[in-house]
Amino acid sequence: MRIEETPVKKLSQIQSVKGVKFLTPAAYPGSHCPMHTALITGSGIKGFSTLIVGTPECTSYSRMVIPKSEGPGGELHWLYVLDSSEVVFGCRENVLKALKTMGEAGVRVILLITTCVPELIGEDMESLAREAEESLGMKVTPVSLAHFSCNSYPSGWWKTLEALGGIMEPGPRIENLVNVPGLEPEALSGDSEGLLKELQNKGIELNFLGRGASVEAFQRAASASLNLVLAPEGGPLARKMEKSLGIPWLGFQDLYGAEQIEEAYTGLEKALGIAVECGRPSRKALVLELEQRARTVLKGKSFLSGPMDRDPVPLAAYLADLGMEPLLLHLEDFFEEDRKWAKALVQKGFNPWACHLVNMKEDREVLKGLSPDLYLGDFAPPIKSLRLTGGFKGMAGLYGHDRTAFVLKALLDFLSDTPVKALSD
Amino acid sequence: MGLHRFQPEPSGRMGILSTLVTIKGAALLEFGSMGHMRYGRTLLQRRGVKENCRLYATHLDEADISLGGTERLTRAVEAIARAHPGQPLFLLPSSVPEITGVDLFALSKMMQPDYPENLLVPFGGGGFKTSFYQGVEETLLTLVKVFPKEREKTGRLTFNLLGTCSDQVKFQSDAREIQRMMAGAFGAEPLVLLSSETSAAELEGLGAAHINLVIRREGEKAAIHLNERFGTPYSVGRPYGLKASAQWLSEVGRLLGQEPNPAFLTSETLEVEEVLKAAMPRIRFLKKQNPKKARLSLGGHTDVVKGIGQFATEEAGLDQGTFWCDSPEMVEEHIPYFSESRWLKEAEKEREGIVMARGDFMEYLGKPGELTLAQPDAYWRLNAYEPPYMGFRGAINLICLWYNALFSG
Repeated sequence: MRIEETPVKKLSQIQSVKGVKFLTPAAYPGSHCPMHTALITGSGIKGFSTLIVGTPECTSYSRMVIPKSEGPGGELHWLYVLDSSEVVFGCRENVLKALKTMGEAGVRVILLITTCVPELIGEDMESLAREAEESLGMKVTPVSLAHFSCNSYPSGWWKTLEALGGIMEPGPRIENLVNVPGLEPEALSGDSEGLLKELQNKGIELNFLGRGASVEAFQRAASASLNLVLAPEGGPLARKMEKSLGIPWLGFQDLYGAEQIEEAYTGLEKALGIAVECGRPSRKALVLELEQRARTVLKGKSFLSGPMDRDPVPLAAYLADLGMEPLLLHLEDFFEEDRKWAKALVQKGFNPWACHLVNMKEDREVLKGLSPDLYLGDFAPPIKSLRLTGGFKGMAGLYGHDRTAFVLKALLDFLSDTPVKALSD
Repeated sequence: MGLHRFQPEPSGRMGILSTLVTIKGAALLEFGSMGHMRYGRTLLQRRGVKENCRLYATHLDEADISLGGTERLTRAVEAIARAHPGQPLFLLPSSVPEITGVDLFALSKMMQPDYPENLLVPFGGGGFKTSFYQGVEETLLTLVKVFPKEREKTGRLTFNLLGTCSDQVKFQSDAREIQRMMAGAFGAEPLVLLSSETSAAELEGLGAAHINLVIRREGEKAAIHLNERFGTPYSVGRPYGLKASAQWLSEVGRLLGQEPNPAFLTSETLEVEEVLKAAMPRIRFLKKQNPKKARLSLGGHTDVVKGIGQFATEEAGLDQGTFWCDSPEMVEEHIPYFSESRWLKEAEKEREGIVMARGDFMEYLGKPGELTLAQPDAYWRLNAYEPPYMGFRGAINLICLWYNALFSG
């Protein structure tokens, strides 16, 4: 089948993840729903309990993510299962009763997850959460996670973090407190770019807002002077905090170009009133040297971008700047910042297909028809006529010049080992 | 109220999926969000269930829901039929389309003429009123209605096992033990193991077996149907322990018009009696010393609880603790249904004794996972060759497990 015969749209037509269609219709194995990542995030935050409202499927499967009903700090992770009459008449009163029971068992801050069915029947969880807060004195963060509103799991990460913005109340500004939304405290030890370590050494208190943090850390975040976004999952929370608390934010999550990264560093220096080195001159020089080689080697090479551990739109725009031609991007999600990079691509004359790959066996036939020079990602089993670069393992968690250098080196290494001519199948 | 600390009772859809997943030479498509199948597959993997039937999902979006669109379904059926030439395609219902009123049966009828090589088999049971076991029953009955073709009875003595479904702990081992017993007692061979080890092609030959052995009550309607269509006699019983296993063989023999091989019965009986002889004295002594310990509590499928309970109390010297079943439609005398809240209340009384129940309850009570009787399992049960619970070898296994639960550690 040719891609033109599928429901897939071009990137210029994508306004949100809802516009991203499957390349082929029968999902195997299919993608996880956002409940999965919301539970991983929620259960990883100390003091944060969870209540998931849904069918026997959703609630049973949630036990594969959170096996025990009680967390290490006494958090409660319970389940609310709808019955046949609640599906018709609603479950508001009973969910309120459930929250009351959990409150009586000691819960103070809770993530209220709504899945497909309560969303479908139109339960207003926002107002239910407000009523629960007033009558029960609990902080209830509702998060709406119907799988039919998206294709995959990333929104579980960022919606949960964004919802936690709701427990923040304005407080006195702490000048040297910087939040890092979307990252776990472990990110510090894996920080190869060195920005986080340097900030800490220069007296900045880093407040990681992700798994491994605590409810108190999220509440304290309201007093920070800046949100530093290094991963796209932190963007929505940062935007929300700017609106509700006036806390500015600065992002590296979608930056690959050396100049743009330098600009972001300069912005950071201004915002914090300190110099930020991070070995920038030598890192930038390395990137520029790699870019010079890359412009020759990558010029005119067309590529497909498959499922990988990073947001593909900004990367595709960067590679297009180096002379590559993006033909198709697999999108797990569509972030706010993707809009500007999509626009930039289109303005340069590129308009790749934007799809969700759900069945490797079926998808491969359509992808082969695009005859790209490269496929950024993996395919199992490998397709002879697609040069698979592999999934760029190790790239998740990187940002800044370090990430750009990683990508360039990976591509250059790959292409120098293999002749760049398409093999016939 | 639907508030749970532990996993809730699974749905009819999960029962249908558990029963169909083991069938080779077939595909399955769920018209619903992808998430269900993604998790469902992993859950089955942890239970050691091979995905013989390839499991697909269509996914849904808001436009499908608001406009009642079924294009995702029809396009997926087309793609799957092409990828699985000549294979049947099971159509699984899901919660969201059930609410929006999608009629899988009507859609299936409408699509079938376009796929003469692929039998489309829709299932109901996706709604909120269908229990897991009702899903299992519907599936077994549908399979025996839809697939069998006219066949002569086999020359050799053969049987079908109805109800070897993947939800039961040790479903493979128990099926193996029944096969061993039938071989030893009658020289009989299995034709179809429904549904742990069979294929869509094999199901066509269901009518050729000499007898159907229903080993869980959900299979009885299927056996009645096969009896009406092919005249195949059937037995209904789930043998646990020495007495019940011998009685079961005797009943099967009566239906076959053939006595069970006496040498086989003797050797099996002796083996179990040896183990009982070794274990009983110390169990009797414990009963006098600490009666609270020598109690057995069982929670799970009624057929399982009844069978094991009878063996434990009538032959193995244990006292009856608390027995309960996990489905309100299977309540029997002395085997009430316990919801989670009721079970949590009753659990404390039986902490000192032996408990065999669902894995998460076992964990909660600090009881060993080897004695798990029902889903959800806390173990990853990847070993299909664990000793069974059913039959003669199951009796030996149970005695050993109980003995070690009482006296070791």
